[in-house]
Order: sequence, then C-alpha cells, then structure tokens
Amino acid sequence: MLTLENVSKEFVLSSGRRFNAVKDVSLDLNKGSVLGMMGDSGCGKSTTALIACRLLNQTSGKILLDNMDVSSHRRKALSQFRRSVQIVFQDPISAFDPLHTIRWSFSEAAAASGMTAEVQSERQDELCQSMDFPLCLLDRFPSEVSGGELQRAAIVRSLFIKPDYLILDEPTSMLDLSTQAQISRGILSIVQNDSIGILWITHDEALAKAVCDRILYMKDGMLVQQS
Amino acid sequence: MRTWKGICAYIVRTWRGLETYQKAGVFILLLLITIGSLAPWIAPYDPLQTGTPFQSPSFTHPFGTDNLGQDNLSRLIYGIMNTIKIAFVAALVSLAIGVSVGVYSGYYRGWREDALMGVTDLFLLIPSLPLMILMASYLEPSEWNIVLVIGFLWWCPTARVVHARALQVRNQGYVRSALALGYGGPYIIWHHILPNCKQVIIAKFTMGVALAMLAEASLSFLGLGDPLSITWGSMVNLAYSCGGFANDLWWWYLPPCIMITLTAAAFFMVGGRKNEGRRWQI
Repeated sequence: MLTLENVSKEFVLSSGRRFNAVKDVSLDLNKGSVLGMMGDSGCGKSTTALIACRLLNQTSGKILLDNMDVSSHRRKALSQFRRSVQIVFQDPISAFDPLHTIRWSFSEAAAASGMTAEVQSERQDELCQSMDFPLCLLDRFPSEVSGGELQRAAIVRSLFIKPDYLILDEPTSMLDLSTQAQISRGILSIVQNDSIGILWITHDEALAKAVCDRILYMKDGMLVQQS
Repeated sequence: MRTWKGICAYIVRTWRGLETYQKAGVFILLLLITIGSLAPWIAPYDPLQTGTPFQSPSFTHPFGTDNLGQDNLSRLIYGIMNTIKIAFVAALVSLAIGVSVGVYSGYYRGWREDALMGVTDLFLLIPSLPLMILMASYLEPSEWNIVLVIGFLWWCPTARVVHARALQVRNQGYVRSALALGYGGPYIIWHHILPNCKQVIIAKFTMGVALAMLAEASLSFLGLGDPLSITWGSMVNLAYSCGGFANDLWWWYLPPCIMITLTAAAFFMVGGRKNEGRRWQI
C-alpha cells in the first residue's frame, strides 16, 4: 500500500511570499485498485502526484510504502522506490527526449529494470497492443508522432518496468472519446493482470466514475471530499 | 561497415543541415587545415632557413622575407597548424571546465549552484586580457602555458550559457521520467542533459577557438608567447619589434593579420546559430 500521511508542500515565491500548494493531504493507494483524484486546475493534484512518487520533496508529512517510511530515502533506496511508483505526465510532448526515438525511450525503461532484449521485445509488443500504440511508430522521433500517440507511448513506457503503483496525471486528455475508452480499458486490464495500484488524476467526472473505485476531490491544496 | 555507413550518413545529414555561411566557414577551415598539414611539401622554403633580410615581395619570395631573411610565406604556412592547434586545445580546456561547471551546477542546483556560479561571476568580473597578460608574464613562455592561461581564464561565459540551458533541460518531462525510472544524476547528465545542450556547446566551442586564436595572437604580439614556435601572432610580434611596422613593410605583418582574421571569422561562421524559424516563414 502506498500511503501519504499529512503531506504538505510549501513553495517560496520570487516575491518572498510563501505558498501552500498542498495542505495536510492523506491518502491510501492499494494494489489492484484505482483511486481517482479530481479538482480545479491549480488545486494541487499534480504536486501531490509528484510528491507521491518522490520526484518532489514534501515540506512536511510522510510517504509510506507498505507501512515503511520512504520519505528520507536517498540514492539506491530512493531509486528502488521510484521504480515501484511510475508516473505519466500531463504533457506527453516534453515526456520524451526529442533527440531519441520512441524505441530508445522504451529501451531506457527496460534497461532500468535489467530486462533482456527478448523479454523487452515481448513486453513491448504486449503493451503496445493493449495501449493501441502502432509498432511502426517505434523508430520515429517524438516530433514525428501526434500528441495522442505520444501519450499512449508514455503509458507504455511507465508500465514497462512493471511498477507496483502508477500515477496517471490526466493521461487521456489528448485523446478522442473512442481512443480514451480503449486506453482506459487497456489500463484497467493491466491493473487487474499485474495488480497495479493506480492514482488517476482527471477532470472528466464521467471517466472517473467509470474507472475508479474511489474518487478524492481536492480544493485549494486540501482534500475536501471522497466518494 | 555499417558503422562507417552510419557515420557517412550522419556527415551528409549534418552538411545538408548547415546554412550557406556555415558551409563557407567549414570550407575555409578544411582548406587551411589541408594546407597546414601539407606544409613540409607545400611551403617553398624551410621556415627557419635564413637568407637576405627585408626582401620585398617577388617571385622567389611572394610575401618577402623577415629580419633574418626567412621566407614569410613559408612561415605563414607552417604557422597554420601551430596557431590552430594552440587555439583548439585552449578552447577544449575552457570548454571542458565551462561545460562541467555549467552542467553540474545547473542539474544539481542548491548550494553547489550558488558556489559554482558565484565563482563564475567572480571570474567574469575580472577583465580577462590584463589577467592573461599578467599570468603569461609570470609563466615560462611556452605553447602549453598559453593554452593553460587561455583555457583556465575563458571558461566562464561557456559555464554561464551551458548552466542556463541545463536549467531548462532539467525541468523537462523526460528528465523527470528518467528520474522516475530510478536513474541517477550521472546517467541523466550523460544521456539527456549533455546531448540537449549540444548545440550551445558546439557554438561556444567554435567561437571559443576563434577567441582563443585572437588571445594567442595578442599574447604573442606582446612577446608573451613561445619564441621558438611559429605562430601568426609571433610573426606580427616579430614584424612590430624589428621595424616592420615603422618601415611600413606591409608584406611582413599584413598576411598573418589577414590569416588570423580569416580563420577567426571562419570559426565564428561555423559556430553561428542556424535560424530554425526561417524555413517556416512564408
């Protein structure tokens, strides 16, 4: 279980003023479940997501993985934790290095988990099929594919190393409705097969209600409601 | 075999991507390097062979002779590789220091950034030429001391520019994705930050070579270079100190000055930034 315990994040603005982006947020994410997170733009959802995968340090509070405090992990322990919690960013265009092909980015993900070339190829085919990502686009550069295709590629890459938890920051925002449904089905089937816990951040209430077991609502950096 | 094919394809692709003025710069440099490398076969005389001094241009000595009767054209040709070598190595030293400082401080930030950028700002505040003259006058005159003086004092602008670019790149999603995959700083710097700073680094390097060439010429002109090494700067210095300027022996001092200007301009041309937006203009 991935737990955020009374997590807060304070930023110091250039004017010297302090700004609380996340205030006292607590949540539990179980393996094999989908937890939705909704709220207005700027309410602190993405900051919470970055803190949950320890890409951003919280100002106060704890992050627990299977009841073990990982807030103070450094170097190897931190790398290991990060591999178990993957994230798909809102902007797929900046999520891929413009100098490398999509295949290279997948290989980078595979190398992070020490996969052999054979296993990598199998996993690549399997994930690309479930995410409806055409294999013929693998040797293209990020600038040569559409935003929607890149978003799917970003999901494939995050699932490559079989994480325990996956944070999706508006993963289907650049997709049309039918592709959105297809990708959502693909993600849900992977959740069931690999028993991954998902934190799904979205603005689409209908989608959240369709795919999530629980939905959390955020406002002004605080969790205000749960359904 | 496939590797060679790949390298050739890369060279052809890069050449096609260059602007016309960049191609002109590459052409001038390749021509100079070819002439410089073939100096023992192309130069009409041994550059150290003495003869009748102060000869004006003629068929036997197209650029005349100096105060010792050495052929100016031969010295000019032999000076190509020495001048370019010193400037190239000096630019490489300053680039290595500047890129390391810029990337390291830009990626890791925090106290390391404050400390390294503080030192960079301090070096930027010091006027470099007077300091170079001071250092060169205290060190033994040699090619390598000139390289070290230029290399150790001219890394700051590179560090500043690379630092700014590294700051941009480190906030990109692909760097965060690599972090999320468990990769550490050295991997991310090598595979993502440095390649994405490539254009800035290449531009700074080519311009660094041009500036190092001018600095070497300045130091040699002031008599702080290696007296035994034939460089264009030392040729101008010799012309100045032995009455070439006073007696208006233009064939002695003008050719090395023109060569310094031409080569520095060629390096500037190669390093000029390609206007990416132009191809989209209607």
